[in-house]
Amino acid sequence: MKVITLLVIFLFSSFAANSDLKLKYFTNNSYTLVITKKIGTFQVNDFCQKNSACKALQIAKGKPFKIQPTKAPFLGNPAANYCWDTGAKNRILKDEKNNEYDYCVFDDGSMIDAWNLYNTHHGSK
Amino acid sequence: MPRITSQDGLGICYAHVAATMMQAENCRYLKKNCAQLPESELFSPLDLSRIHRPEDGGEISTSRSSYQGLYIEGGDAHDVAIIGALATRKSANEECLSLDRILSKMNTRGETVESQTQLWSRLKQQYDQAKKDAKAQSGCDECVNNVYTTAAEKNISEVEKNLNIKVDNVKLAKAFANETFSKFLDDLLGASACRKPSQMVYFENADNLKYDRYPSEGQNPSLDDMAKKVKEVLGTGRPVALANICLGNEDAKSCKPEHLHAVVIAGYREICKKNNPKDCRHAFKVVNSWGKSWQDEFEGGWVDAKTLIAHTKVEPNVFGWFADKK
Repeated sequence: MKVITLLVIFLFSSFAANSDLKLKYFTNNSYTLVITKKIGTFQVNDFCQKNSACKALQIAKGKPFKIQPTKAPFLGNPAANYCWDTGAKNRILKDEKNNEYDYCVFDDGSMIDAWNLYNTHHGSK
Repeated sequence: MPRITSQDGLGICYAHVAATMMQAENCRYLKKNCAQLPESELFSPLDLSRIHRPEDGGEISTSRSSYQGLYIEGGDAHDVAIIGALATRKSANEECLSLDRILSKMNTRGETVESQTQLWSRLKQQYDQAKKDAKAQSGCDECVNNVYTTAAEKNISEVEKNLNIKVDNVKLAKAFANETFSKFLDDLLGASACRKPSQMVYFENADNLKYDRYPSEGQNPSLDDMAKKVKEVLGTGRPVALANICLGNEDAKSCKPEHLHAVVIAGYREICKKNNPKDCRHAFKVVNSWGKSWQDEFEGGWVDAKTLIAHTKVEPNVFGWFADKK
């Protein structure tokens, strides 16, 4: 994908750590608070801090998944789309300033930042 | 600059660009800190995606209700900015209509893209059938109402399950009674429910603004020309919308429409080598609709301008921005 190439040759390559983030997650018709932190290089929710066998970390540390082309006639956000390729759902979470983050949400309740996972598996730069 | 948004897997970068442009201009005019606005003061990209083009390709209307429903297969960021800011001059706010809530129950990638397209298609067929049945019953108001009620009962399950829209039979029947499918979708998607003044964000300075474009027909600008123009506009305190970024494998000049992306340019830098101050390159600060993490990864969105333009299908009017009329 050329999108990867485009990302690779952009300037300023250091990954800015998100560290602790307090995010709003809309689920079951209301917002709940989700706190995400860095475990190693992975930005994951507190579920993984309590349970290192969480799916988000297992998937992140495992082999990359193939990026599935979408049949839809547009591209969207590649990291958001990649969540679905790994078996997770993509969800948009918001910080206190209403900035939006894409997180891959696994069926055990664990979450990982979508770009963090995408770049881990497919390289950002 | 306004908050950083995500378009998820949908083809609505154009609406996010328009929302960011409108938000930035409102903040500039109202002298507000754009990074600290509550949801009630944020333009909803999802609502702006409804006005991706004038109804039936005709004249631009100032009425939001006359535009198309949710459109997730790409659109023109400049058109939406022009229509949203200078014609309808408002959108639903993020508190009333937000993508994170709409998407919260969608369970497969397919449901967010391909299957939704099929869902719209099925709903259109159901709507057309209901209108046909209602026409056959014309003259009998009760019979017509029964047609819409039956259509609602038949479709409510799918609407609730696949669109994550809370609706009851009465509301859905009322939606079926709309005179066009566009208005049916408006009702269904909640856009029509976001019509109260308290659910709107207003574009404040519309009377005094125009929307400028670059380059004009016949111009063939160099990278330096484009960087100069971007720098000039940014100097007025306004960002620039850039369309036609090609994300496909093909050459940018022959980019397929479905591979085109749009972003906002909010900053400019000239970076020169320490050992050779004459060896410089341009960098743009891009506001992308791929979420805050993408933005953070590129130190706030700074990208090499030459690379960005090399991947852009440069044609007339590819850049756009709000400008004072005088």
